[in-house]
Amino acid sequence: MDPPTPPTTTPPSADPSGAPTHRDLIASAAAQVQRLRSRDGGSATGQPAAPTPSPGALPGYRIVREVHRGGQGVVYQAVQLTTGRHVAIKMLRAGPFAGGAELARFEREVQLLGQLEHPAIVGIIDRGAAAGSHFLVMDYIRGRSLDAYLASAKPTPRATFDLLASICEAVNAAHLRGVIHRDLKPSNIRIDDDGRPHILDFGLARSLWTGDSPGEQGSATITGQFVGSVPWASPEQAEGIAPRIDVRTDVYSLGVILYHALTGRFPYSVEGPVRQVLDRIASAEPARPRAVCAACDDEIETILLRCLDKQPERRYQNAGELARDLRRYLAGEPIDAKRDSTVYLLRKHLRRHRVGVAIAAGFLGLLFAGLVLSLWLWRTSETHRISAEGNLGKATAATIEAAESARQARQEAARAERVIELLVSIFRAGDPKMGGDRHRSMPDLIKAGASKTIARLDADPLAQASLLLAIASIHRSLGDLAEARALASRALDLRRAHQKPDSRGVAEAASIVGEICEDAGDLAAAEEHFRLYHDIVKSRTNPGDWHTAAALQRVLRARRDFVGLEKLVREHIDGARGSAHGDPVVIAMLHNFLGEALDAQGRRHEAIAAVRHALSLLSDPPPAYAEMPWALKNNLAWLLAQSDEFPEARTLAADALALRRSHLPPDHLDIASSLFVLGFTELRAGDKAAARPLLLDAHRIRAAALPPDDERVVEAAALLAECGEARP
Amino acid sequence: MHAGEEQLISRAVAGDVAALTSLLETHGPRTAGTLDISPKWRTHVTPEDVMQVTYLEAFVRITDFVSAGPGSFGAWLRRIAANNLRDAIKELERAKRPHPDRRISTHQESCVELINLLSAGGATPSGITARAEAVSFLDSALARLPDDYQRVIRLHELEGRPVRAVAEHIGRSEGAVKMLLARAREHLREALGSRSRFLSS
Repeated sequence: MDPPTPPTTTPPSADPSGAPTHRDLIASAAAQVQRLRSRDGGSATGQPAAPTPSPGALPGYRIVREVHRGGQGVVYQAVQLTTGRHVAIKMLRAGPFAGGAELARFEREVQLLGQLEHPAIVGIIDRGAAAGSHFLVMDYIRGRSLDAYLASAKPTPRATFDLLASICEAVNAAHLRGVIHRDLKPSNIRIDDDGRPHILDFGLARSLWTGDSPGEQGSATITGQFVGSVPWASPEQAEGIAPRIDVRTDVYSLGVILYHALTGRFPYSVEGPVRQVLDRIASAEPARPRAVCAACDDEIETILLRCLDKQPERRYQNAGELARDLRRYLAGEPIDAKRDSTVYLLRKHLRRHRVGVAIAAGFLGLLFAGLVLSLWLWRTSETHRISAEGNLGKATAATIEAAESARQARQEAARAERVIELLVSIFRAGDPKMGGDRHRSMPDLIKAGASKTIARLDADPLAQASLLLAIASIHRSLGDLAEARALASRALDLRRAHQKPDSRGVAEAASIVGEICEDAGDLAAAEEHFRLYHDIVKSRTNPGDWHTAAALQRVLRARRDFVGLEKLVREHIDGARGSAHGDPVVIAMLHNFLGEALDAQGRRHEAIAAVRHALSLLSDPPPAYAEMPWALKNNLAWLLAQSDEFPEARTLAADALALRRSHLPPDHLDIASSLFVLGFTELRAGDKAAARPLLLDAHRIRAAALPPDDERVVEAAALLAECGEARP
Repeated sequence: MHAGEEQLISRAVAGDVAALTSLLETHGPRTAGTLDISPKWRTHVTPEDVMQVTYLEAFVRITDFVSAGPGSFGAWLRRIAANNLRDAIKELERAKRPHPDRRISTHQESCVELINLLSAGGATPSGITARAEAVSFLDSALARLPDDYQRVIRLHELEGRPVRAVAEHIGRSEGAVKMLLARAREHLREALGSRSRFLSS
């Protein structure tokens, strides 16, 4: 290959008119392109970029031609010399792999995809480094992008469904390996000459984009940034909430692809400024497919709208579910999406119940109940969902460890199927439309369904364990804690007997047992199990793992072990600071807990400093945590009032109260909490007249929502008595 | 068809600037001669305007060129030139309609959307974050365009100067600026699209 020739230097225009000649114009164009090329390659590789690498630059490959030059690097078509196989080589800029950790993470995903060997996923078959750039080698797919294919081949709706089902199945196979695409769009799906789909760039978006690796479960890395390609983006991407991106994000994008393939348009207009389009994705209802597409019937519409639900929990929970419904539709069978309402209501119930349970915990921490819950409920529900559905989604660390071979992956899929089968049969039994007996109690239904299925799983103790955990969490949500604990403990024993003692699976079961013990008030047992979880998880991932932090902190708080709590929180703060994802939200929250632990030990000044620091970290909180500064202000006011710093306490408490009043329903417990702190401040400052109405209001709200002997009702009544108010 | 032309073409496709320069010097003036500019627009756009952008495009796009035998290079170049002329006239006609800037079709990861994002976006925290992100995003994508394209995008799209002012500033006709803008947007869209997954680099 010839090295690039320097730009032709042309003498100034010889045209007597002074207008530039063709020669000038060509030379100018040549010079511009040449400058661009040297800039292009120079920064990344430290040497001017040749249009294609010189022979031997990529050992083992012969470059055929340049296919595409873009932001992430250059793609070449090449031949692998040992096999003669046609490959695409993507030369990446150094940027994404600047750190060794990113590279390691990326390599892990490459490895996982490599093991997958799914015919419809274009995996990475090799990687290496040349001249300072990393390159990836993947199969070269002859064919067209999905949209080009649909436009020219014009398949029937049924053929389109069939094709999309195959795509969903492929995506699901990667999901089972814990790899989320997060940038699915027609241009990333190529259809070969035989009409078979091939999905490109799997895992690239996730690992290169955010540095948010599957191993670091739920670490909130980047928020407020848009990730993905606009028209196919999910609401959670449009809102820039990175921690909420999971397998269901891909389900959404698949829904948009399907919608567009069938109707020829997007679910909402994607014209206009990006901000507006993102807002539409986040909040506009999709146009009803039947209104815009003659071939769409009620069931297709149900499938599409289920994919496109704004709330991930109301979508298909993975691409496999979507694929199954597409297949069911093609076979003329009833689709699963029709059961949406029942499943959703049950899920909602589970969540609601969890909120009720957690609200009973803690005093100062209570101010954060909603917040803490929003953080770890997600993870808890994830853990449960995963145990119910076979290690999908965000608990990818578990997936990565568990899915070490294709055989295991198949086993897991089969296990997931059985668990889903059971759950579905339970839901079905409770769904009057399905002809089940709605009057049977939920525990009866579970027992009936479970005993049969568990017995069938005798040969597969790990599947048994997953199922036991799923059923335990249902029992727990229904308040049958003894049964829940027995089942979860059995699951923990099974996992201990059949998995490594420090495996993620053991940790997960321990955490669930711990939560049930906590619910049941057996705090010693809860602590023991949380410690087990904590020790396992700490040894292998981010020590700031919030799930453990929250659970263990809760128990220590409930046991009033504030010295232990301080030590633990400080450890978590160090961990969170040390990790690459020192999320200010998490660090702020930890400082708040530190404040609580210090205050309980009588070290109020240190406590004030800790909470003040927390507040300073959140001058501009991500939208999902907009409420957090209100709670911090309230806490700080509480501490300051107790230190007789009334003016500042008053300002902060009044501020928190005003913010909460303008955003929350009038009888919200958080409002009562702000009223209480402000009332306390006025009372201690000596203004009983100002304190009385505030405390009356706080007491009224609390008494209406809480049992009469609840600490919060009692403390409000006590302060009212100090105001001279007769006990209300 | 010259005997050596096929050889020149393959060298050009492989990135040899001198080879492409030589090909363009042969085919460019002929291509300019084939441009049919209606009298209505002759004061707004000249064949040189069209060829300026066409040459730039030829250098940027040459790696995509697949020879289909004798004459295919000339046909390819004529096609680029004709597209450029068509776009210039389309833009000139569009300018007569109300709110020309709002009529730009924004599709997929169109750069125009991003530019709108820079000027709109509101003052919400997420808007500001997104905007800061978009600015660095756009900057890095712009850096991957030839200078002429960068310049018109910066002057017109980012600094908001009218096309006429841009034309005066760079000493070109309005038609040429419109054409440069059309091509620049196209390349920017590609650069943005391909970078969309690599923003954090």
